[in-house]
Amino acid sequence: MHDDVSAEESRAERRVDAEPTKEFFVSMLIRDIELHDSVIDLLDNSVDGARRLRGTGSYSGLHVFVNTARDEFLIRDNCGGIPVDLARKYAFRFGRDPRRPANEHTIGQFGVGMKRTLFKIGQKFEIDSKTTTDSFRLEVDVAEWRQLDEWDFWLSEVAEGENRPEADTGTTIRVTQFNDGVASDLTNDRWINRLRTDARLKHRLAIARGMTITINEVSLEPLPLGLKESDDLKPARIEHTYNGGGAPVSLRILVGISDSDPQAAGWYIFCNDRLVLGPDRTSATVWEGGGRHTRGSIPAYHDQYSRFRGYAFFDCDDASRLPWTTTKKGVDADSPIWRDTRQRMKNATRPVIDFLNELDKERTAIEGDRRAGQAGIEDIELLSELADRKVQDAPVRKLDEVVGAASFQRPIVNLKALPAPMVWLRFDKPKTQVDEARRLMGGTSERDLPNKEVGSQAFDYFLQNEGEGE
Amino acid sequence: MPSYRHIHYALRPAKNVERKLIVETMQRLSRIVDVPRMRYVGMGSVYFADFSLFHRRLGISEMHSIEHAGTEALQERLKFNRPYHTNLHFTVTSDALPTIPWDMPSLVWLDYDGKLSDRILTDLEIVVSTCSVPTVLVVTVNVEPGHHEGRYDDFVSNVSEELLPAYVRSDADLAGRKMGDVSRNVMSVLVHDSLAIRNGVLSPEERILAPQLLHFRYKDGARMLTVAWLLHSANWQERVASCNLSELPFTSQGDEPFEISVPKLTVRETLHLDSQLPASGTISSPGVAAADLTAYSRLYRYLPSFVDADL
Repeated sequence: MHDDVSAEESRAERRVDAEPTKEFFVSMLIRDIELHDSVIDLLDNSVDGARRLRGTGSYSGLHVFVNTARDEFLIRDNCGGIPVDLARKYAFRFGRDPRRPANEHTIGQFGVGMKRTLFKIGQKFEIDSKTTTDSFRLEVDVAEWRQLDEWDFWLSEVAEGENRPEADTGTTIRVTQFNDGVASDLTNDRWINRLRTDARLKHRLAIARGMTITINEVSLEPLPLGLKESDDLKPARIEHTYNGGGAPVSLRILVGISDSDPQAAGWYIFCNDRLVLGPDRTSATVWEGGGRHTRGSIPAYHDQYSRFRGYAFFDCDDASRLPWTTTKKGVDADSPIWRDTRQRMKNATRPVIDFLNELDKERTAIEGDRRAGQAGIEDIELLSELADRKVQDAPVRKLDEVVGAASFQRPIVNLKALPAPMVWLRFDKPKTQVDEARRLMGGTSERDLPNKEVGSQAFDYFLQNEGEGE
Repeated sequence: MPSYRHIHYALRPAKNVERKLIVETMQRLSRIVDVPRMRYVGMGSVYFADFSLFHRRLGISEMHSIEHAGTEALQERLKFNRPYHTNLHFTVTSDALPTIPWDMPSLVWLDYDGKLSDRILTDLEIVVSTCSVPTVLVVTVNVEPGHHEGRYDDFVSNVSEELLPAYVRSDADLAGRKMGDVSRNVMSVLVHDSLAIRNGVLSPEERILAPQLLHFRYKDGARMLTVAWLLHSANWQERVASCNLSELPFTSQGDEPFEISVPKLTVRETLHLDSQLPASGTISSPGVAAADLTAYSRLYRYLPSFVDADL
């Protein structure tokens, strides 16, 4: 008995409180994501719903409407709704429950996205969901909930065993009592335009499959992504599957060139069809630069690479195996899968940028010839032989239609046609000595034999006599 | 200027010996690897000396030579000289290496004329990150320290400080032989770093190890360094051990190199020494320095003999 009491006391002495606080979720975690990205994050739920309904088939007829006003944020879809059972057990948990089946190929994964977004926007939210067999309504007043000791939310209406046509299913989320700063963003046209642009890019594949995404009454067109492909210009296609450690993660990489566009150039990284990074032109992907202090096998991005396009697609039934961050705004740099993929991306980037560098040399050489008034280069037949022309003539194919090759295939740049690289020499000498040299070269005045010529002839004379004639 | 314009390859005695040492290493590995079915990836220049030797002595028949040939004339020359249906890649190594399928065990010899550079390290990364195992990766680089002022800056501008051992801070740390020590160290860090990335997604038994096999220094003109690693999966450790590679006197797992220094001896002297070899004790020949005698007894099996023949 005595022992029990002292054991209890010693236990109390050793106890350290490590329980989470609501404060952490309501006001800390929301700082890691911008409002803009959190709205995109909310679209993920609708896209996941579409995927549950249609898999990789057509999403035609499915839609999401986002409407923003001074005092209300609304998102409504017809993508199947949230099953009551999923709502009760998993959908509103803070953090993903490891017991949740991992075979859904979702975008949502961490169990933070939806709550974080709702907390980010305002103090009150309502969710109405209808599936083919059940429906529920959930209303949360965040300020009230914060006061309570318990963490549970309570459904206000629940119906199960219903029979509803798929067309009438869906989820509606309404947020009111905005937090500071939210109202001004949600009513700012420029902010809304940025949101549209980003949604076009991030959910490009869902839109391309036929889903309608409408933001404040404007429906989004998918952003066209492609690669040039012809008989002598083929993108590299690399496929790999990461096994071990859970559900296999499949990787598909397509690398090549497209139209010159400094804003679209770079690497695009997709996880389960959702763009998480890109177009990236930084060291987050391959453009390390490197120099004296750190090593980089790929140079820093430069506008000379504005034709470069690389796409990496990761797919996995278990979304938590994918190398993305919780904000889905980047890749998890420490993920072993990402580190391996990044090396593959670097290996595939090198030949493309080497080619773009050669093209640049070719272009410079031709411009030099033009300035020198050489007519030959204007010859149409010769022009058609130029790699640059072959690149321009190659059509841009949509990504799904790209065939590709095991490695990047490109037209040959005829280096023979390029002049040897030149350097500029400049030096000062006393005028009397230069005049003396000019006289020895047979010149009489600066007009007759310019100083530049004197220097150049002196150099040639030296090499003729001292060089090995190579 | 590429080195083939300087000197006929066969006349570089240390290089000649080096090729034969690689052959002997591969013959030892043939206890566990089907060497004739390996792929050879090299940089054949116009002489293709390594290609001829590896085909004849090792039976390797799938061979790829990478030689950056920007002019049609050089391409024609390479095509004319290639032995045994060698596949030719007329582009820089970092562009050619990703196009090799890497679907079979390989012997790769990246035999550069130049000093360690960013491009060379990139090539190492490509091979280490994509090769099938087992693969023998051999790298040769120039390790002339260069002028004593500014060599540190030159080196880090190519290689970057993050790969350098912490003690290397100044020109003096790259003097003499140290340029070779540091170059080997940098390559070794890079190989193991790339391997760590690759191993991150492999199961424990699939993980790849890369013990060093060879570490040569020699000087036909410039000081050169050659390092070779055997990339093999973790579950091959016992098999690799069964080859007893360390029995070969020229293999080296560590910092200590095997020097390929070819003694300059007359034909009569070599015949006289050969009559005493193999020997467990000392050998002698009138007036020949002890260092040359030691060098000869270590290398005599691999030394070329040059004859001025009218062919």
